[in-house]
Amino acid sequence: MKCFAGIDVGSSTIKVAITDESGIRGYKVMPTSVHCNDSAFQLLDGLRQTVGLGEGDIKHVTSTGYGRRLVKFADSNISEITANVKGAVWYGEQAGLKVRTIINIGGQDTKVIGIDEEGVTKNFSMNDKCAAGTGRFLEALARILEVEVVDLGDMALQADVPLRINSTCTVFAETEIISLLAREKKPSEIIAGAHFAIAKRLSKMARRVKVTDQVFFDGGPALNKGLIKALEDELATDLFVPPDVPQVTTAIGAAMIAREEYRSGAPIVESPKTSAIQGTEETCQICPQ
Amino acid sequence: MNMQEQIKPSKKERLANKVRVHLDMTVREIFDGLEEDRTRPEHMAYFDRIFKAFIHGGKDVVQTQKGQQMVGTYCVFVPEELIYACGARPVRLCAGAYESVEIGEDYLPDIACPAIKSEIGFSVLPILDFYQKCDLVALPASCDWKMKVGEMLEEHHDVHMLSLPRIKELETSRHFWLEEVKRFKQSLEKLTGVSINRKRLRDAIRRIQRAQIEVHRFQELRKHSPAVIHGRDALEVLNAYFYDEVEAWTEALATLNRELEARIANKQYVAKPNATRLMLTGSPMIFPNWKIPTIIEELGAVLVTDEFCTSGRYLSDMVSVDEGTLSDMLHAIADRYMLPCSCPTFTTTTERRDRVLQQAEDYQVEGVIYHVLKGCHPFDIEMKTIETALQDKGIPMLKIETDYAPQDIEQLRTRIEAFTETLKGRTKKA
Repeated sequence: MKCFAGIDVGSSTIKVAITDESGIRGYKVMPTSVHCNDSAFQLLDGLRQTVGLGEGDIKHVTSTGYGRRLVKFADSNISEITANVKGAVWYGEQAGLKVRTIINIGGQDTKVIGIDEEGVTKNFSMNDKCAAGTGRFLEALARILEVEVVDLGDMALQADVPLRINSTCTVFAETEIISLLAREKKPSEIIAGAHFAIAKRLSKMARRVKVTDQVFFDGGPALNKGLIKALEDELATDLFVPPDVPQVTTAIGAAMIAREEYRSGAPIVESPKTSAIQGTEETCQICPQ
Repeated sequence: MNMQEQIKPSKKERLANKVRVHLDMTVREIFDGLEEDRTRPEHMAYFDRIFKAFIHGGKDVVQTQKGQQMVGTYCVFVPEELIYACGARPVRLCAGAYESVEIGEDYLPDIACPAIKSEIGFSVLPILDFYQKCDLVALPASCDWKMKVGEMLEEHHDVHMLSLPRIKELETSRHFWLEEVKRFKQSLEKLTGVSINRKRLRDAIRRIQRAQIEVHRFQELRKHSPAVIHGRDALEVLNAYFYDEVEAWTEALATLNRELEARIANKQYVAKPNATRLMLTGSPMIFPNWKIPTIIEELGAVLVTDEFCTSGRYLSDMVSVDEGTLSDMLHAIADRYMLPCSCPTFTTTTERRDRVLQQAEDYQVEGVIYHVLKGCHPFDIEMKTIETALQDKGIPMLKIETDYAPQDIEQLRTRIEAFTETLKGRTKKA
């Protein structure tokens, strides 16, 4: 049995996925710990046993994500943008859709990736070093309002008119939200407003990439139905959210890259196309981060 | 989620929905802010209701009777008497929403004024119900932008363009405009199937006159020092006339006037006796673009009067009928919409200058803020002359050039604050 694994070490969670010669065998998610390498190994090993594979069945492991270099047992590593594109295009093909744009919201960064007709990264835009409008922002929102992160989406959908929140900066938004609470505004409308603030920020980033249908939305916050609605309203388009576990797309992409590398017998070198990728980084002027 | 099974809204509907959500948030933000102000007259609630109805697509903003035709109007030159005389309902479509500007920008050059960008946005997308429901749109070619907008609107509406003379005092202009008014009358008669006779027109003139009488009473009350009503609220009252039925609106304003009179009797004011009295002039401010009046009054100054075509001089001039024949009334209507109007597109700078000076004196104004919407050249050109004339009278003026975007609010606040502080310093010295 020849199987291949992808490991995506994110700031909040580690995701692993295993593919065989033809499709996906399984995937698993766990919170990121300080011992990345050990956690990743245990997670992969656990998944391997769950899907009924022997120890020698995994032929090649590719790591990705912000902690990809911490995974010492990986055979290769690749940037999360390339892995994300790979996984999203595959999901699209399964659903009969041609993915041309990816919106990925992670624990501490946000990306908009443009993909060309052939499924290759064309350009991307990401915010780095700042948690504005990311999963962390949602966590902070939940904490201030004393609700669970998983309940945010449904609460937002109950709002009649969202309240305007101008900042997606985790620090400044907190001040705004507390002032709204002091004025006895409904939490549901505050949450809906916060989701629109994220959507607005993201649509600004997306403008540089030029959003083209079909748009794929993944990352942990893609579990949030209220955020999906806010993004769909703001971008005026439908989002395709991968079913069940939208966090694992990138790990699946990495596993597919592992398979390709194994087959070709060499690490995937950057093709001329990918070297021409144009990326922009968004940095806010408010804090020195 | 399986999207193949859902009926997908069109791209247009989705874009409209996006604008609507943002507009909803803006309206919500404005009225949440106003709720905090405990000094507002109780009867402002009537006018608030009209604007709050902009939320969720504005279905109840304009309430027409069943089968009643709706005539959309732009600018201050469309004779509403004729529209009421044939049983139709005028709705003024001049717009102030930043949210729809973004849509309009796809159709217009950058330099175009935000008002027409906003108006085009509302016309091309089904954002607000009443923009889509107009059976006819009457549009005076008052400036270059409006001229071209008329052509663009023809894709979405039946449009009646009114050709406006460029030099209003000329006798030739007067004849020309009268013919334009008659042509509009025919257009309305064709639309409604109602022939405008003497009685119908006389009734319509009287209905609007009654509204104007209340407006004059209201403006007199605004002369009171200390102020009894915020200028922002006054803009709201007059702006509400865009969407309301004339008699209902008149009734509401009469009630508000009575409340204000009672407040004066009880010495119940909205501003301190020493609050700086400011006047606004220049390009119009239309809901929800209330950023400047809000800043002024948050600083403790009071906006006592304005010279906007959307509020201060919207309903100031009455139709004055001599004989009461149909022809005489049409003459009177044509004159009322042209001669006293001080729109810089066809009024000399000196005439508007004298108006502004008179108004500043009547309302004991201490400073004037001259508002220029980016791309609104006629008002911009006249600015220098008016500034000089005001300075000669010892009234300082601050020019503010802006658009509908909220991004410059903090910068504007600093400028307006510094301006009012300067004015206070002057008063102390004197």
